[in-house]
Amino acid sequence: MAAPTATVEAPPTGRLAPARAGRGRAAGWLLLLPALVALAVLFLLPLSNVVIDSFTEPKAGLDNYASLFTDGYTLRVLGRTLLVALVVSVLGALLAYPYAYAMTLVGPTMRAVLVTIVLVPFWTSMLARNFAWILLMQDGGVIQWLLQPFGHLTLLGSTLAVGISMTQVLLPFLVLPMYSAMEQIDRRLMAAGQSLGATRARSFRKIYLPLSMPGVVAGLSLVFVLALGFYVTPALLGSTRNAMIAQVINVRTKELLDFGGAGAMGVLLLAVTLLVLGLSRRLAGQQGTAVAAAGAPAARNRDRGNQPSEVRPWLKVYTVVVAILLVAPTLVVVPMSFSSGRTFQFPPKGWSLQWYERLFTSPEWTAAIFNSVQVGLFTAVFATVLGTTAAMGLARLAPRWRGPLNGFLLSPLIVPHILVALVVFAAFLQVGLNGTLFGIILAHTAMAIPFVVIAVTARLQGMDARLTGVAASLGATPFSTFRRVTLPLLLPGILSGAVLAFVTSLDEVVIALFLQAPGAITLPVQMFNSVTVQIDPTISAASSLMVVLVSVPILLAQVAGARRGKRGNR
Amino acid sequence: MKTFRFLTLVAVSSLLLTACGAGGDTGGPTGEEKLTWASTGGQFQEDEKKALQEPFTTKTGTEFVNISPAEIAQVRTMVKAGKTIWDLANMSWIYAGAYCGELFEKLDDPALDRAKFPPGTTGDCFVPTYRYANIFSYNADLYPNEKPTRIEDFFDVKRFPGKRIVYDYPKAGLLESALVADGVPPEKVYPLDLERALKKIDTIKSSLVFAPSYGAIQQMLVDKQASMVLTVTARSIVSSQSGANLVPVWDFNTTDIGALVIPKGTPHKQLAQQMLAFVTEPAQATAYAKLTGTAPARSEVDIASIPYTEKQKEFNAFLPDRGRLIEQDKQWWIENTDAVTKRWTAWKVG
Repeated sequence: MAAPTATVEAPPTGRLAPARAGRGRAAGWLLLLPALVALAVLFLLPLSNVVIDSFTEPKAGLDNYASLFTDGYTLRVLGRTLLVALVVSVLGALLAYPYAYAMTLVGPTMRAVLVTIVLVPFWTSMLARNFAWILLMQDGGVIQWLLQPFGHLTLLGSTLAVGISMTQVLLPFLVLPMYSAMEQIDRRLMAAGQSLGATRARSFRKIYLPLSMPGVVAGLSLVFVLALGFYVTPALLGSTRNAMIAQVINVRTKELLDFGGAGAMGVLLLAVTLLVLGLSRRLAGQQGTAVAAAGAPAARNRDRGNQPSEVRPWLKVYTVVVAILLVAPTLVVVPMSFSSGRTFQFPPKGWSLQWYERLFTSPEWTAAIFNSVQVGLFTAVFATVLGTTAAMGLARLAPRWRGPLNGFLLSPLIVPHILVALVVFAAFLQVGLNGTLFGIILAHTAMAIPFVVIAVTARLQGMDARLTGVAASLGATPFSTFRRVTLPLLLPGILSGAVLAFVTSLDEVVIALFLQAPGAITLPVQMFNSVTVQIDPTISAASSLMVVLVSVPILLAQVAGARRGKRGNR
Repeated sequence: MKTFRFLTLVAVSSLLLTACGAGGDTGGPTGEEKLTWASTGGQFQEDEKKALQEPFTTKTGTEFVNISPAEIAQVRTMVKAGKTIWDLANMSWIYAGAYCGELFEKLDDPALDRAKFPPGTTGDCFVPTYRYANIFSYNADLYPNEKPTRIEDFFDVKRFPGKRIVYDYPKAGLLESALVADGVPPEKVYPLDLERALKKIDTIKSSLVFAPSYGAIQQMLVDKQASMVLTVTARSIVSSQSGANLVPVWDFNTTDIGALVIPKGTPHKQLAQQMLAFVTEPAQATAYAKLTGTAPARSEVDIASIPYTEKQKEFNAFLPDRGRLIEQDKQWWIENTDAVTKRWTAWKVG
């Protein structure tokens, strides 16, 4: 999680005189205010209805909560969900760590490629991606063939299938914060360690690993929380027999209209998640102080740390394998979109452009793409501003406030989307915001703030807080300190937060489905509706188009940046 | 830094675009009445537009706003908030029955005379708009020798191995089929003995695939991931058309109705009822049946007069010689669906 390491910053702040620390805290609250207000209005207030329902529907009392423990399956499903989330985040971290490490070693052009690859799963629509996994994992599919040495495995419908797909789609959430933290580490520290007699492995374990911990913890907790709420993947690739908690909550609300029971499950999930995060905070916090001393001075030597160095062969192989995993579903979706069949086919038996023709000739599809890009960009802008200020505010608070507030800022990630969708729909009906793109943007902003907070906080932890003090002592105004010192240092974190916010909005379907109306239909909604009753490969064409539309500019911008950077250095 | 500037540029230009767009968007009311129609989405709703909505627009000038999917949870939320924005919803009659008068309007337009419909297919809050069946079929490519011919074969994984795919919903016909395969005479299926049915299904549980969507059923059938299926008429036809070699087994199947219901509190209740009556009229019902392969709701329409395609005829349960058929008991399902769904969820997870 992000906050455990926020304690890391305590020492530099502690060095300030008490009066200044007090002022810093007041400023912290001020910085936090916009995000807190936004979340209170867009999330907490509507959601209070769910909590009230859980105690009053169908009759007042604790019945809904009692039945969670006595119905014989809720606890089992919750246990399974926690286990899957844990395994997915740990396995994901093992895959992501070396990849992120390799990103810090390679040259700028190669890094641009690696960054683009990490982002590819984001641009591939969730629905198209899951159908790609179905094709890869079905009987006679590629993965079954790859796993042949382990016997005849039936993947579809198993928790293994769900786990593989979840790990793949969550990998970027691990790689990005890890890379953001590693990029700040001065690798000369390791050389120093080795010159003092430590072995390569030992200096890695004693120096590099602890320094990269803020990124690891941020990534792990983010992925763990996201994994808890997965709905579409387990529904499509798993089976209701090994259902996860979000599926059960969906049945409760959408089929049984049992809002009280669903609310109680949501509250239980929120409580358990916050508990787990709180515990991990404790555990990571103990380690944190040790990191702090080394962490701070490293930041200044970014440029040194950035220089490309040798990538060992095993790391190369590992990185390539992870890269393949990252793009695998997309490599299925793209050919699928050129298929002449009427269902998804991989490899296609015949080729045609019919799905692209349909995509470009039907106004619903083009409007949906335009709407989605628009909603995504606005969400990214709003959430980035609110999330960045909140993260900066959070860092200035006294530790005892930091934990609870951080939990509050992250809660939109934890509460299942179906519950949020219902309450936001009800609230927006009253004020006439439903059926408008602006309404969807507002709801998505609330959902996206946590991503920005996490990304920026991870970056803040690696930053030397004394730098702002230095700037101030040299006569800089707070604003120019922010613009000339803090912002450039935080920029990678802010940018990755913005990307995450954009993605959250781009792939969000549950809330957008409830808030839609003609004229306010986003791409995921259009996709969802085109495959509910029958298969429509147009979604693979739309998804492929998005991958190209978003990846190419990002790749080019980075390569151009890298080129210019190189020239500047010479 | 360049990336940042680039993103800012994109963001700002899209801000401007929206500002322009917002100005043009507010077309305002045209004076004509509008009905908001929530349905399944996809091809099915396209067929509704073509066969049902367009003729009504031609006749009355009423425009339609189409929304999908139609979620009961949203109806409840709207009614509770006192802001009903849907006028008609293609939604399970189970909800219309269970929440009649509470979440759905009672149908009181004399044009919706219940005597026009088959007995046992109407309620205070719903009339059928079309009829369909939950059809048991098998993939002929996967059974080259002996073919399944009876409902018992669906539950016989020894003689007929392979996955059976069923829509993940208790009312999809599986429970009734299990009882009949277990020896219950079709006319005695209701009241449904749930435990006996689940016990029978337990014998093939590891071969069952519960599909989360109709799209998934179609995809898996075409890819030969399942050898038998129990699914609704229109989905059987579409799967067959897109490449699955499906053969229906006309031994025992259940039939059911589709319904358009009116959420409580709509400001257009009268117009919505007019539309409902219009939908069930022979001309529209026939046009719709022809597009979807389902059957008209009113008894007066002669099914032999509908120009179905060969494929549609093959999967039509309302043509002669379709073996044993029972209409799913509306009252029983209305009263018991909640309990069944809870038991079903626990049974699956257990």
